[in-house]
Amino acid sequence: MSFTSFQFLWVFPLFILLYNLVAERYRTLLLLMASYLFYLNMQPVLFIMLLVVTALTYFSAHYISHQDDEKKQILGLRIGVISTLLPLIFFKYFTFLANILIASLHLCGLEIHPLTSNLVLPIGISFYTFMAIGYLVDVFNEEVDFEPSYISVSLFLSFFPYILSGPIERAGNMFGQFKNLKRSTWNGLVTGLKLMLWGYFMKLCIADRLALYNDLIFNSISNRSGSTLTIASLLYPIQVYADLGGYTLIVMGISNCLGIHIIPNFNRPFLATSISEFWRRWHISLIKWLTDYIFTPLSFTLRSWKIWGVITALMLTFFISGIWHGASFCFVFWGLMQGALLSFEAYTNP
Amino acid sequence: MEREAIIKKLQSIIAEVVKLEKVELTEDSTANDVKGWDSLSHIAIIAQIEESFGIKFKLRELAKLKKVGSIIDLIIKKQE
Repeated sequence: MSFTSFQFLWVFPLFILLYNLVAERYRTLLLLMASYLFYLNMQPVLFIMLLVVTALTYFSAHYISHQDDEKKQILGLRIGVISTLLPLIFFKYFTFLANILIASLHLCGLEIHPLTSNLVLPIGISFYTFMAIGYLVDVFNEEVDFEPSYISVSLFLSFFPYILSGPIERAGNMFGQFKNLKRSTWNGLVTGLKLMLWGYFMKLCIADRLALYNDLIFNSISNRSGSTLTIASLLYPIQVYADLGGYTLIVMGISNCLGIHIIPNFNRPFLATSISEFWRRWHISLIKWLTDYIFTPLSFTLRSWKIWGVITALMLTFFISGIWHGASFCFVFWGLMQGALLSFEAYTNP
Repeated sequence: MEREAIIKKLQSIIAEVVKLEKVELTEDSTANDVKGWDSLSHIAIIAQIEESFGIKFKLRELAKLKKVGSIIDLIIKKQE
């Protein structure tokens, strides 16, 4: 069931009604059940991966927070991060990595046919894996307390409004809200429904309409003129913005109706006057995650290299951003290109 | 070192890194209050603080340095 389906249009008001009728102490459980049903409705078999990552996250965070010895805490963090990352690496990158290996063996004279189909990717795995890692690092850094409620941790990783495409939420923003789930307020409902309406407009009336045109052009590039390709290329960023930006507004709206506040993902990105400013306004939750958990630790570790430490950290961060967006050399190149542009900006304006 | 003296030293360090003539800080100031203090300049500021005060921060301490007041607390703790 997607948010743009007719099924959702009648299920959602009924759910809001039920949410407001149950006693406050059962609301977290109700949200978790709704989130799990939402997931099971789409992908019943790979639901198991969500349960596995949840268990790994909960017990790793428990271990890290109950150790006094820093070495044991670091060990717990490493095991937690690696074990939560393994399912993502396996499902998302297995075919990509296997084909790189096959191509390398081909150079050595060994003939193996490349893999043509990708594994079925568990829905939302790129998002809930990043949220799990963020939570573990926050517990390690003592920024967030270990959450003893298994239900809250499960809900944090599976909350149905954001599990499909984000925003990549933070434990520090969500656990407090899950503990205090009040009835929907009139203002919350009005604001939420307005956000949803605007989100549906962006998604259905702008993004999906532009996609019809752009898909047609990009699927037959060799038959198109230069001016047609230029127009399609200029329209594509608007399509992507309306798609993910509209989707985020729907997510924020649904959450608002439940009295829950979700971080925004966009802040008028096309008004940015530099590449670095653009990346502070575009897909904010992902960029903030990459900044906090990859760029900052890397650039801090390499701080004695001065500007070259910053450039190395930028290139690695955007390489990871590229590979996160998709398992192909096209995304790797895109990520490195962004890293290079930001490095140039950092170098010329140190 | 007194908190007042540390804050004055921080003002000159940050002004130098973000290339501003003058920076006014209070204990509650954050990176958002200073033009040019972003994730790119943050590490340069941290490295400059380490050099000027002769201290070393740990990676896990970075997450706690959200306000100028917390930076001062940590500098005093490290100098003790």
